[in-house]
Amino acid sequence: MMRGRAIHWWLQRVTGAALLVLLVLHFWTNHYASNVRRGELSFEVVQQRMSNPWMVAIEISFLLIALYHGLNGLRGIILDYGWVTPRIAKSVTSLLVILGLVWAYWGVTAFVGNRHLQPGAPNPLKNAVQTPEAHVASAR
Amino acid sequence: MATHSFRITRSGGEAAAGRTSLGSVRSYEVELDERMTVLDGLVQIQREKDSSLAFRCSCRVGMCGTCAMLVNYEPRLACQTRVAPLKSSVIHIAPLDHLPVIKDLVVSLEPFFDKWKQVKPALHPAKKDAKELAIVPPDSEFGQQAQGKRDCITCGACYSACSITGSNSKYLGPAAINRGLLRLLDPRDNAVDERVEVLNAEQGVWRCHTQFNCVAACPKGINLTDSIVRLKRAMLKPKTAFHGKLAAAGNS
Amino acid sequence: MANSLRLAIRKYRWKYAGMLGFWIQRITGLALLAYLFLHVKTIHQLNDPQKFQAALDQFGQPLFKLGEIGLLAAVVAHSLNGIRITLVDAGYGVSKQRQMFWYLAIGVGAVIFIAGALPILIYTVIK
Repeated sequence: MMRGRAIHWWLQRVTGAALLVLLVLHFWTNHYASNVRRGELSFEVVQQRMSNPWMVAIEISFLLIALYHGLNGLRGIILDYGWVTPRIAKSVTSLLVILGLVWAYWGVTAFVGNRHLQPGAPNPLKNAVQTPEAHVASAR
Repeated sequence: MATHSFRITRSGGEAAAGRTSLGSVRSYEVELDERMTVLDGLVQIQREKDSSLAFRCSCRVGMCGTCAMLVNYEPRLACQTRVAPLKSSVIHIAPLDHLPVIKDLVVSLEPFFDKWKQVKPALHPAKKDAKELAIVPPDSEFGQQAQGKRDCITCGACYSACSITGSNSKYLGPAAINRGLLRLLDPRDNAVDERVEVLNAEQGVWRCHTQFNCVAACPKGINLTDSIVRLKRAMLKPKTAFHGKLAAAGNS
Repeated sequence: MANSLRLAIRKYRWKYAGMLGFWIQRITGLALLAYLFLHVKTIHQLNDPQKFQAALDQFGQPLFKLGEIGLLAAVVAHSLNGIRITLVDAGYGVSKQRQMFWYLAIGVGAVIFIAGALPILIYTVIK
C-alpha cells in the first residue's frame, strides 16, 4: 500500500545497477572480446554465441530489465507535466505497459523460436562469398 | 558610492495569472553605498524616480521572506543581497518564477501556500489538552534532526527555483515537503497518515528529480533536497518510520 | 553580443551542476530508449541471416562507428550520472552534490569514455 510509488522509484535504481553489470558483460562480449574486434562480427559468430541458452538468457534478461528501466523513466518524464491528470496518468501507464510487452515479445522472438539457433543448425550463408575474417572464424 | 543600473522587469496592473515574468524591462540608475542592498536600491527608485514601482518588503533583515525576487536571475531576498558582491554595475531584477505576477515585482504566493496547506504545516499534537509545555530539548533526537529544517520563512525562493514547478503547477514543491518532514519527525505530532498520503501522492515527493536548485536558492540554507530524499526512503516501508515515533516517545 | 552570452551563462550558473545532471539524464535516457528500439529491430533480424549479415556489414561503416562512439558517450553519461543520483538518493553526498557531479559523473565519465572510444576509433582507422 505505502510502497505503491516508492517501489518504482526503488526499482529504477536497482535496475539501473543491474543494467550496469549486464551492460559491461554485453558490451564486452559483443564489441571487445578477442574474436569480435576488427569487424569479425558476422552472422556466424552471433549464431554460435546465441545457440548457447545461457547467453540467450542473459540477453533476454538484459532486454527485459532495460525495458522496465527505460519505460519507467519515460513514464516519470510524462508525469512531470502538470496537465497530466491522474486519469491521463493511468492511460499513459497502461499504454507503456502494452508497449513494453510488445517490445519484449519482439526482442525475445529474435532468439526463442529462431530455427537458426537450434543446436546443430547450419549457417545458411556458408555457401555464399565470405570475407577472409569470417572464413577464419568459422574454421576455428 | 557607486552607480548601478537596475533593469527591472515590470508588468501591468492587472494579474497576469499563471505566467512567469513577462513584461517590459525598465532601467533605473541608482547611487548606492557599497554596503547597501538591492532593497535599498528599490526603495530609492520608488522614492526618487518612479513611485509606481511595486514590490513587497517588510522586516528588511532576512527573517520574514517577503522580499524574495530574482536578482540576476537567481531567487534571492532583496534585503539580504548586497549590490557590491554582485560585481556588476547592471543588476537584473524580476519577479519570482512559476508564480502569477500581480504587478512588477509582486507575485501571488497563493499557489505556494496552497501546497503548503496540503501538508498540514501546523503541529497536530497527540495530547491536545496537555497542561505542560511540550518541550523539545535541543540535544534530543528530534532536536538534532530539526536543526536546519525549521528555519523556513516561506519566501517562495525554492518553489521558484525548481524547474518542475515551472511545468507542473500541482507539484508540492520543496518548502511544503520539507515542512511535512519536520512535522512527521516531531514526536509530539500525530497526523502521520494524512501527511504521508499527501507526500506519497504522484505530485508529492516523486516529482522531485534532485536538481538541487532549491538548495542553491534557499536564503536560510536549508538542505531541502536532503529532506525530500529522506522522505522518499521513508516511503519504502509499508509503515514508515514515522508511525513508530509516537509510540517511542510515549505519545500515542 | 558577448554580453548576452555572458548573461546567458550567468543566468543558469547558480544551478549548473544539478540542472546539467537533470538534463543529461533525461536526454540520454530518451536517446538510449530510441536506440534500444533500433537495436531490437536489428537483432530481430537474426531470424533472417541474409538481412542480419547485411545489417552487420552496414554497421562496420565509419559513419556507424561514429554512432557507436556516440552511443558509448550516452551510456557512460547516463550510467555515471545515474550512480551519482543513486548515491544522493541513498543519502551520500547530499551536501557535496556539485563535486560529485563534476568529479564522478563528468570526470570519471570522460576517462571511461576515452578508454572505450579509443579502441573503436583505432580499429576503424586501421581498417
